[in-house]
Amino acid sequence: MTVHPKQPSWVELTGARTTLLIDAPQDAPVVVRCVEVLRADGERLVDDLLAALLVDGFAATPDFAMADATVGAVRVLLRGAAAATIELDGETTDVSASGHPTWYDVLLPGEKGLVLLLGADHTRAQLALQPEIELSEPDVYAGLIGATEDRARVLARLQAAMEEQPGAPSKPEPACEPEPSPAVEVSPPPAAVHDTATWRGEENWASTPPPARSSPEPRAIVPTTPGEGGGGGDSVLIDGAPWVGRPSSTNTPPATPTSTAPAAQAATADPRAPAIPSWETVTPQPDPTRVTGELPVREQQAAEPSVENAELTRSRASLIAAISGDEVNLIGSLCPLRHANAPEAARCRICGAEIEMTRPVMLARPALGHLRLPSGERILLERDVVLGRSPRALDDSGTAHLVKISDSPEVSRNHIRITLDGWQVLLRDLDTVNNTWLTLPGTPRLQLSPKEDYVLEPDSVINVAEELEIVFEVI
Amino acid sequence: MRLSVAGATHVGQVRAVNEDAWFAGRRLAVIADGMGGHARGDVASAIAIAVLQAIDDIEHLTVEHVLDGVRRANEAIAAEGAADPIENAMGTTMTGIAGLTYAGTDHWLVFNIGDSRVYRVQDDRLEQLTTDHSEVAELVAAGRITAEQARTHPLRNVVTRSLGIVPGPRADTWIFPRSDADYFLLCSDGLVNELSDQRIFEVLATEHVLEHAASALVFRAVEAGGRDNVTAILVRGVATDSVYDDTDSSTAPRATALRGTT
Repeated sequence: MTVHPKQPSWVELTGARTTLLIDAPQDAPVVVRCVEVLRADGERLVDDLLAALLVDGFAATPDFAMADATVGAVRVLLRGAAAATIELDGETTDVSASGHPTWYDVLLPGEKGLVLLLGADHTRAQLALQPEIELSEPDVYAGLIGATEDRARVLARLQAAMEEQPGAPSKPEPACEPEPSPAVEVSPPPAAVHDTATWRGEENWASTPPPARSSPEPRAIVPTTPGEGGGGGDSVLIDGAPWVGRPSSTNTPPATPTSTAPAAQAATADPRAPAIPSWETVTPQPDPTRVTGELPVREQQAAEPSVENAELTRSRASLIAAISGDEVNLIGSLCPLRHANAPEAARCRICGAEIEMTRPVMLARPALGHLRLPSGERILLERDVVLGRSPRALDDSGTAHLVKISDSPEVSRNHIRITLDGWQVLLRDLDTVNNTWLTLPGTPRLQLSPKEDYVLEPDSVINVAEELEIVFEVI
Repeated sequence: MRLSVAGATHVGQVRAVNEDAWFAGRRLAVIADGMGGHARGDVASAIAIAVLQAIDDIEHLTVEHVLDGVRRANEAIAAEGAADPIENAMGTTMTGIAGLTYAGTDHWLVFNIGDSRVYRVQDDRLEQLTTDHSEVAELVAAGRITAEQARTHPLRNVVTRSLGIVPGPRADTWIFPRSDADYFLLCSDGLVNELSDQRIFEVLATEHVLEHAASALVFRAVEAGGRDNVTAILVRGVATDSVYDDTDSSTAPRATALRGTT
């Protein structure tokens, strides 16, 4: 589900199979309602959207254009200034809401096509239906489909903008890039050349769609075809950007000042250019140290796969962990400066301002502080963390960061664990050999009982195996 | 730590444009999969990669540098969309891994927005490190469809989080220490929609040269149908310091003599 404000006032909402243009500001209640409906994606989505649009009565209903694709058909609804061009199975129809005091509403059968929605002031959005081979249902996707060949132009402009920002890191000019050619000669993106050559033998297969899949696609989906204009302009533009090298052939000369990484980028940037092989396989950044250090290994690997296997089997116990996609939402309160706090907090944990008794709100949990290491470095506490000499995921710590804090053999591999529990930060000693101590402000040092949680207060000091001290800080 | 990397991409057999973009350098490897239905998904993914590529030059790379790069990529894509109201909206996924110094030692930062993936290549299987931000992933999580059904579900291409939207999306992150055996696969959904995890693992188990393995994966996926753009990057971490890696040894009790008077 995406929301894209249009200019001047129309907004486009794009769902899985539905595109909607509404003549309203992005934050208007009617738009917010439609976003919620699209997100819910109910069985009767179009009806639900209509209900959301009409909730304030006809007079207050904004102009809108909607296209909704179902299996084998597309429904188009238009109101006010909205119009649409519908191209279905090769037939094109222009429709508008003109002459329809409420709204225009039509269900058209078709397997394949494109709906172009038009609002006022040249705003437009498209919904494409594209049948997918080997699937009983057409693969429908929604959204804007426009010109795709201007990637290089955009990139050139972006690069110019990035170079204008002195603060922003930018790629060095190719001429300045230390690129000893011997390294490249030793290992010219070797696999790239090799692989390309290998597969160029099958170039017909690789570079042209097979007949079965080459049925004409909707015009707007295929703005250009390989070798059909655009390519020349692209190459000029790409070459104009110093950081985007363009391989003149599949074999980049060793002396070329551009690194292979930008070359890969350029190849990716314009996959339609006929000069570029379909297969883009490159070893980017042939850093001399890496190449020379690795080359013997690579040769061994090629000759003797078991060497690599040996390396693989040295893999340690699995780090079972997946990044959580879930944000933690909590009931909280906001201070006058809108810092997030626990609902019962009297003073802001960040700025110390008094928090008036207000209605608690649902908040995404902020980082609850950080751990300051002896080096001064800070570990942000936006999720659980396991710290130790060689931390790995615990059975119940799937999403915890794992941070190595010491090489000392006196620090256990998994030494302590920090758990964010609601608005509290908990510390646990993971049954270590050399123990953990906690000093809460104004209290004597305390040795932790293993596998018990202790609540940290701001400026608590954690002593790990008498090796290092870590301070929990809120600001 | 320096990265040892190789990558490959292919437009596939069906799509006219490769909307995938990738970069792999000394410190960072990133994949961006431009939105299938959005205008100029290839532009969005290229912008995302260009912004992140610049980060690869930062000597002392930090988590903040990477997340700031993700933020700036989002702004650049949104601005590009707003600057061109006729062609307008576009979006992209962004998934990557960075080798950086954290708490004084080598750590990995995995970050993800969308449905491209990072896998750890284990000695016997693949382990997915990222969680897809997609409709089907949510359906699977809710128990409404199986992972197998998700592979062919009509909504399988719909992402629930992407770059190019204001306010910017939150990136999932995961930090963990480097170890010598680390081996990662980054890929766009075009790879995993065509090849099962087991199939991918088999290819990686037989192709040991990174460049060959990346190409072979993409080749197999295109061969299997190539219904979407296919991109794969393989990453290993190479230690640049000579610190003795004793992380597997057991913890030594503190010597009595060192205990002092505390």
